Amino acid sequence: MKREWPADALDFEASVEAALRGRGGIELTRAAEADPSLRESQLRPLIESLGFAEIDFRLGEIEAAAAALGAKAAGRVVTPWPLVAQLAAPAGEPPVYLVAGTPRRAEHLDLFESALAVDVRDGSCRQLEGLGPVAPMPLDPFGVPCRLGEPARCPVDAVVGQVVLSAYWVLGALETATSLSAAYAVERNQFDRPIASFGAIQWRLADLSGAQVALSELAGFTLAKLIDGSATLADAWGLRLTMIESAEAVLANAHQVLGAIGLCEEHDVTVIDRHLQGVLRRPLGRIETNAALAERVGAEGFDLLYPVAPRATSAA
Amino acid sequence: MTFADDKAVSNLRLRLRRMIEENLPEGFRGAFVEGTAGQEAANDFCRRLAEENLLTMSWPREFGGADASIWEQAALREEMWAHHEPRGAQYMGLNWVGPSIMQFGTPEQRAQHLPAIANASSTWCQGFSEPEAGSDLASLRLRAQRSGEDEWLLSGQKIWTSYASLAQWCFLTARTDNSGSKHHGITIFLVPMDRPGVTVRKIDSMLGPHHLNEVFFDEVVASDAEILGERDKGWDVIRFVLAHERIGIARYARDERILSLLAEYLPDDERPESEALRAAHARLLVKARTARLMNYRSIASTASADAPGGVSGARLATTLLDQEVAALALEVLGEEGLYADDLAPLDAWVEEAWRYARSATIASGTSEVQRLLVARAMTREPAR
Repeated sequence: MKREWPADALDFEASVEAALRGRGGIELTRAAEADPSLRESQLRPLIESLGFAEIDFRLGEIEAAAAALGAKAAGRVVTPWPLVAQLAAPAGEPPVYLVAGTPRRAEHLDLFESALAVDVRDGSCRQLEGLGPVAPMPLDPFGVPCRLGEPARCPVDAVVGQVVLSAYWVLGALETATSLSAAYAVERNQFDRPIASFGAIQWRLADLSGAQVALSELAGFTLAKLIDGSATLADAWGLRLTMIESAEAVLANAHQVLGAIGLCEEHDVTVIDRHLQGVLRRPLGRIETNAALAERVGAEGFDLLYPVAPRATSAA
Repeated sequence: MTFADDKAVSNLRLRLRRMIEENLPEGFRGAFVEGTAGQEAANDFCRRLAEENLLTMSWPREFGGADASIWEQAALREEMWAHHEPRGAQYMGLNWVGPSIMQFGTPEQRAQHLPAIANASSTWCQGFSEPEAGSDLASLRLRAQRSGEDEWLLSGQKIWTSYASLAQWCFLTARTDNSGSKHHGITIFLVPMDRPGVTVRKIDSMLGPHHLNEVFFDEVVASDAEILGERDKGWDVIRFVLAHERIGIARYARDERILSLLAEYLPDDERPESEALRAAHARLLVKARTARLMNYRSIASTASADAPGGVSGARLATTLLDQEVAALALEVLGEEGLYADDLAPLDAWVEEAWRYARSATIASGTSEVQRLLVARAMTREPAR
């Protein structure tokens, strides 16, 4: 077992983190909601200078790790840029979105001349066409109306890669929510003592931490399988299910720890919460992801200390 | 990056699985069942492990071990727990009594106890919990009073003591000083269970035989030479023990094996309830994998640094998984899952797993205490 990240990938993560914080971190996301053109004027040059467009997770351990940690660093401040879609594509090619059937909207589609949609239900791939500028909605701040276009060639490992990178994006956001909650629990006094001293709050912090660590570990495991070529769709849907459940647990507990302040626009957890909803629902929500997982376990089996074999009827 | 077993670990797994298949009697359900057959099978199996130098493989070479890597140790725990822990009560001596004596013991204590643990000829019980000190371990009251130049008299009661009726030795916590904080003034004694004044009374429970007992100490004589570590500073030893104990049981491995076996019993039709069972099973496969990975994270961190939050978080995930898997197993098997006779599927493992899982979030520190430890680590409150 070798759990350590490549040093180059860690350096890249630190660079991304520093660059995004230097531009205001989550403040930049707030500003871009008010003025979506900031994505072009401020973020595009930054993303290009960091070299995201040259990264291809298919090219080996260091690139895959850099893609994952880059996505996580960007997720920490819910950067208003479709980095996961970009990183899921081969270097320099159009961003890759996952869909289930015909999508109505996709995030940030206005930023690219072309994009691809991979349908997770049958693996088919089509052009994805944006229909105008960003049309903000409370839980879909950078959504763009869209439609499917002509059939296209699917990039290798697009689905598993997208799912893994999405998990890292979400993990970054959950890390921020976790640290904000823990810090607040120490700072906030009620009944003459920090709320961190109350068992009910400790319970929530522990569950929040457990959910985040669970996602972190499973994401690392699945990334390692992606790198060595052994990742299956069952692995991917298992990770996505954990991502959704972890996000639900972290966000729900974070809000309870933070109380009313966590619901206010001025608080970063509010921003994180709404910016995660799209990735948690598209292309599949929790129940549909669980069903997809069960279907793939039946078809492919599942790798454990005591593996589960494919079901004969499903595999046939 | 890789999370796969390296060659040494995968070879060890194969070797252990072969030994289990060749040496354990068919239908073996652990050492702690009615009658003596389970104990005898466990004793035989321990001797086989000792012959192959596998019983103490986790120990340092200077104490007769094999300096096994942390991942080989993990594989051993996993394979044992997944097969009803065929080391019986010995796992306790191997996992934390021995290491505690290595860490804190005198040369004489090491010479007396380590060889006996290493060849499985001594069985230990843990005298920690008391009627008024469960999760709040430091509130223990069992009193050790000076009765001579180097003698003590031990008086009080321990409870929930597993395997006390089988044990030759007790790893006993006692109060030697009441004057300071409750974490001060605790001393560890290594006491033979056949010493006059020690009485064991079994407590029947849903876990099955031998799991729970009360142990009474009525002016039991102990000597300074039987103190482990420093007098009054037993809390340091307890913290060492708890870190080893919490990581010591690979419940997730048993859960993975149950889930794997359970797959054979899943319905394969298109009814909504069948789809729901398959979905619930698939979800727990992922949760089992994740719980294992959280344990691995914790194991890796103990190799480099003390990480109480990590151990507690992993334990919390694992114990909750244990209960979820047991509940699902009963759902999948339906009525048959309740039965403990020869006709029950999976050698009637499921009903036993369900009963045992009830204790998962209580034994070795309740889930409430584990959450408290995680939260303390998050908010940087110093661990006590």
